[in-house]
Amino acid sequence: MVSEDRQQPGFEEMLERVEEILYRMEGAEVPLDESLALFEEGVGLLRQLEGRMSEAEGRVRELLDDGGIGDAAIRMDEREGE
Amino acid sequence: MTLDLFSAVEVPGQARSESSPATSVARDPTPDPVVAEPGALTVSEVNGIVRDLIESGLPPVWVAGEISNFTRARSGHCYFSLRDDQAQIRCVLWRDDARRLPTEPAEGMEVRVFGEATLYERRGDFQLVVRRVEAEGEGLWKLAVDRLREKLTAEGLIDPTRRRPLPRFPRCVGVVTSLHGAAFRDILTVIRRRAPWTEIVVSGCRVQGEGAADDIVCALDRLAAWGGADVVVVGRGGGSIEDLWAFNEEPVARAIARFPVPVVSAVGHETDVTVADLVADLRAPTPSAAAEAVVPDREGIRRALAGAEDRLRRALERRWTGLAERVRRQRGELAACGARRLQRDRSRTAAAAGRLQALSPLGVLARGYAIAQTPDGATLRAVRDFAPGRDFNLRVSDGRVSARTLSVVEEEAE
Repeated sequence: MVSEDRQQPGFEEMLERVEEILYRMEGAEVPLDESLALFEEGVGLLRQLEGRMSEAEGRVRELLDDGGIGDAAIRMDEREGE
Repeated sequence: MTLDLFSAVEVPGQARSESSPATSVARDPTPDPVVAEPGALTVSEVNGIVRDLIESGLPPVWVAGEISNFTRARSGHCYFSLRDDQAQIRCVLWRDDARRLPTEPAEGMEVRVFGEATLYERRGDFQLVVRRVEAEGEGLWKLAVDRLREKLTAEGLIDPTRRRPLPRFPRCVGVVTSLHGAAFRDILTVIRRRAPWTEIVVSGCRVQGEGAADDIVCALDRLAAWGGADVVVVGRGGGSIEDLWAFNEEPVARAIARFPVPVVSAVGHETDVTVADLVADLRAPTPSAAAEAVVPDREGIRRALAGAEDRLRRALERRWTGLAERVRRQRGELAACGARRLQRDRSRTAAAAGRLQALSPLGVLARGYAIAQTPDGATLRAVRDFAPGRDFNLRVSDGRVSARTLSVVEEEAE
């Protein structure tokens, strides 16, 4: 019942990888060809992240009593509580 | 019932006694319990009369006093005394009304009760039937919260080290609140503005009134069972302490404490603190603030990503200019190396050239020597090579001279 999106690498993981790459490239001596590969990977990840942010708006859904899930029937009343 | 205490009460079938009503005494050893002695009331009747007197003489009122010996029977009914420094009155709070108590009042607590004075006829007890109990300045509510807080603290549920960090970039935010309230609307608005790609799943519930606490617990458990939320916001908008009360109830606090992912509580306004706030992983002063806490800001991320790209490029450049530097340096070293070599070689060459020059015939000639040669170019070295009258050439430094041998003289060898 868990959202299928869970399978893709998340924002979090991608950002962590970018941070790892930066740490390596700014730190100890990295062999030249490795630094090129890291650079490419880093830029690729950054592009993906930017893409994610420009994606369409996330869905708003309602979890129903029976555990099912559907589009939220949001009634924006002024009333508080029921 | 009309009353004349000093006249005999007539009951069908009962013979009138001859003694005066004021002094009548039951002589019958087995008196019929339902039937009064002539001139005498039954106990039930007296109690009924007194009860009526009391209830009509004193309408329901608020009474202030000190609580004493508050007990809750297994039936759920509560019994206590209310006292001041000179008198006391027995009180009863029936179960249905007792349920509305935030908690049992403490011994000695100053309270106001709303109730009706009456006589409990069956036992002839004078008592106050209490409907409501209030303590000074929401004292009972505060007492309830204090007691629950103590209990949960003892269990380690209100431990700051228990609080889990919120995920930086949740894919899905769960929301537990009323679908009709301003809180939900505010949360949606803020999330859409800051991180529009975020998925939102709402598990709706009532947030005040009878049974709201159970609703909230169900909504939380449902969301936990679904398992798709990375972080959850639970709460509601502002209200009185009674309105917010569900978030002070033990089941709600426990449901929040056991939730599998971090929970942000957002109950009421800035100054409202409920028990839910104490067990949550983060307390937000308002629902909007909760939304800001659970999702990142798109602009902030964009800046961070741009910054990261800058750093990547610079790091790469540094690696490469580092290399270029080394290459340049090495080339420079090589160049310097070459120059030195050349210098050395030149000197040697010059020296060699000097020597060579000294040794070369041209050098000899320059010094004034001449070379005698036959017309064919063969060198004439000795006297015997010359015959008188013979023509030969004399090679000098800058040309040839034709010459004829006149005579020769051989020198003696040394």
